[in-house]
Amino acid sequence: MSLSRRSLMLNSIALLATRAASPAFAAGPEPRFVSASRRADGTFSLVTLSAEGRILRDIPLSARGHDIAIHAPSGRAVAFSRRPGDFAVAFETRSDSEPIVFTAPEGRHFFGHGAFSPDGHLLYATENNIAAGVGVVGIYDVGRGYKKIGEHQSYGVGPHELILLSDGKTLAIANGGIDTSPEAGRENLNLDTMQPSLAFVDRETGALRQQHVFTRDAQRLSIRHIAADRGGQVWFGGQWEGDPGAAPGLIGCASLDRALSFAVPDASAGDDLKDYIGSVAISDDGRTLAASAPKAGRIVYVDTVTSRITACSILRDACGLAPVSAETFVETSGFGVFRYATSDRQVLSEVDLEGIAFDNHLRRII
Amino acid sequence: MKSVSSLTVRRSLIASALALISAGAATNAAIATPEADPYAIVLKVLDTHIIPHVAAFRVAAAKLPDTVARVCERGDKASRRAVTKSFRDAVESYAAIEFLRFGPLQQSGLREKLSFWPDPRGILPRQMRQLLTSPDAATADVAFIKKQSAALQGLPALEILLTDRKALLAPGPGSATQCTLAKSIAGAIADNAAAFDAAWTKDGGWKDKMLRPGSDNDTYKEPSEAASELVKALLVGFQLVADVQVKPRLDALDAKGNATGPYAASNLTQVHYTAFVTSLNQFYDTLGLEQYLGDDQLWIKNWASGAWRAIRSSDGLGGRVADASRSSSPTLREVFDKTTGLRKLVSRELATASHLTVGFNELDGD
Repeated sequence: MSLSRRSLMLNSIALLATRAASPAFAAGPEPRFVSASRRADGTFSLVTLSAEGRILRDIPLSARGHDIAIHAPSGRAVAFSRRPGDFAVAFETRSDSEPIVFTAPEGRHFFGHGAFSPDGHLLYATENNIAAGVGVVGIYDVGRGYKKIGEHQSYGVGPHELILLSDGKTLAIANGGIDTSPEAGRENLNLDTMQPSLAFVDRETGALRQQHVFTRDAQRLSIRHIAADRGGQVWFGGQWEGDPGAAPGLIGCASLDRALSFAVPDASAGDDLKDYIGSVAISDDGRTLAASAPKAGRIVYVDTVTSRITACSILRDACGLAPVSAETFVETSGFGVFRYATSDRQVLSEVDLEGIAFDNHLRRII
Repeated sequence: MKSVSSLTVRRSLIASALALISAGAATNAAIATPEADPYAIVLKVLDTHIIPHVAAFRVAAAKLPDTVARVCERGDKASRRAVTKSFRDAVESYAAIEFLRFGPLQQSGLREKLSFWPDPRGILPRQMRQLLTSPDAATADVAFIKKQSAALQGLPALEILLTDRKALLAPGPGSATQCTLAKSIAGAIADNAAAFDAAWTKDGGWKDKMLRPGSDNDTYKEPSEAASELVKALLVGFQLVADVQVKPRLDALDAKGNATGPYAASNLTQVHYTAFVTSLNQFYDTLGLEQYLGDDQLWIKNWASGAWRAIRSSDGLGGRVADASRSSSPTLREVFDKTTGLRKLVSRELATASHLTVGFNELDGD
């Protein structure tokens, strides 16, 4: 049997057809969160969760998922396969209607992230132009069954997360700088010459509005995950590809009119993040950034006004983060922990879901 | 936010047997196991596997400059045989340490400098063509090569010059530039292999770092962290075999296409594969994680034993090695499945049994 990514996609469809969704919507709690996951038997799925952390729905996937784009007003969501996957699964968060599987076209693969337009009619996804080894932003028409209708440049190599800024017009794109090709698995092909950047792109015209690049000392810091605060600053978490422990920083910010800068570490909060930030999220009031460091088993909190790391909490294999208030985040781990914790390190509650490994990203649905 | 009670959600334990394994091989996760001693594991793996293999690579690489110089001076059959053998020895000994992708191999981009592969975009051939026509090529020394891109410094770069039938390395003006470059590249490989060895073995080097965890150690705070690093290396090794060596070839066969393995020009793809999986198997045995399995998990040992037999009987190209321990040729599909199955077994059963679990997100961030 072929192991091609196309056949994996077909397996996804087959699995979706054979696995009935749970009857969660008949009566019971509303889904509040969604995450990709690995189940106890090693298979992969998307799970929606109640506010208490109970799994309400489990949508099987044939391969590992990554992030989920949410359009809150319509309840629409799309989960992307993990790099270098080429399938995505669209589903409704307010009903258990059958999901739709769609793929990146030939010659492209997804990088695991995307965002909806404000009206929910278009979906933007980071993709690889495999032959050229350059990043693009795929544009998909939701109303036409997620048909791809165009693409913009990402203005870099290996774009990872993209977000739509509050102006509804500008996409912030984390160009990780790392070249990969499906025929080389997940191998990084250009660490010697990588050039990460944070690009600001007009979603309608595809024009580059601004681009920030790292200077030589930080050139091996792959910008991967981003979130915007209320002041329009885009905060990033990176993955260091240089000498172990020599990263100039992993967390920082930039904006359309302000260059990249790093958050100020706080010795008492601890700053040994083992060279990798798995996800970032901004609190509801925009004042606090949470950044997870799964290799270090830590979550750090940054004051977005002072740019200082203010606290650090411990959670083994911590990764998924979703804000629920001005001070509180839901935090998930690869060991099945689902917890509410505040930015001053108080764990309000913790649920341990046996057999589930939560993947990188957790998203709040409502 | 409404506080959530600290309810522990217990999902019914789905059969933990891997999908690849028959339904009769179900396990119980929670059984009494003997305690693993992380320090002892690390010491044993360092002393009996890592350090000897690193030294073997240094020794093999150190012979390259002389054998290359000799073939350039004499160009006779004996010197050609000698350089072919020394190159083979260097590739073989490098393959044995290639999966140790932490610490020294990550420092100064050593991995890319020693062996720039895979190279699906043909960066090395392109750069080599440019270098050969550059006016600097005729006077290039080791220092010059070490200032070039990572691709031009390693074994694949030397392979191009050793296998160029249009300009065989020999005395005379016809291959003078090639000889100058080959000698310098061989010198760079020897230098980098020596630096790699020193990074492991010098006072305060990575061996010391792994054996002296503690609060003042910037990488390993506990012995279990150093031991888990070794489990991660094993898992990375499985991933490299399955996704980088086997799967591209399998996909190419399905598409009736062609996939080039490492060191194909010098006909060493099989040698590389065999050395890689042999070392990986020895590393697995040296870690000794099977001894911590409970009595009702003996099926894992049996399954792993069969999987290793298949992997090591394969030549990595779809055929069987001459001294295979089984009579039938394992298909590439079987090798892929067995390698992936071993990876799952180690990450979820053997690592758990030895209390050296590696997080889902920390293992392979994205």
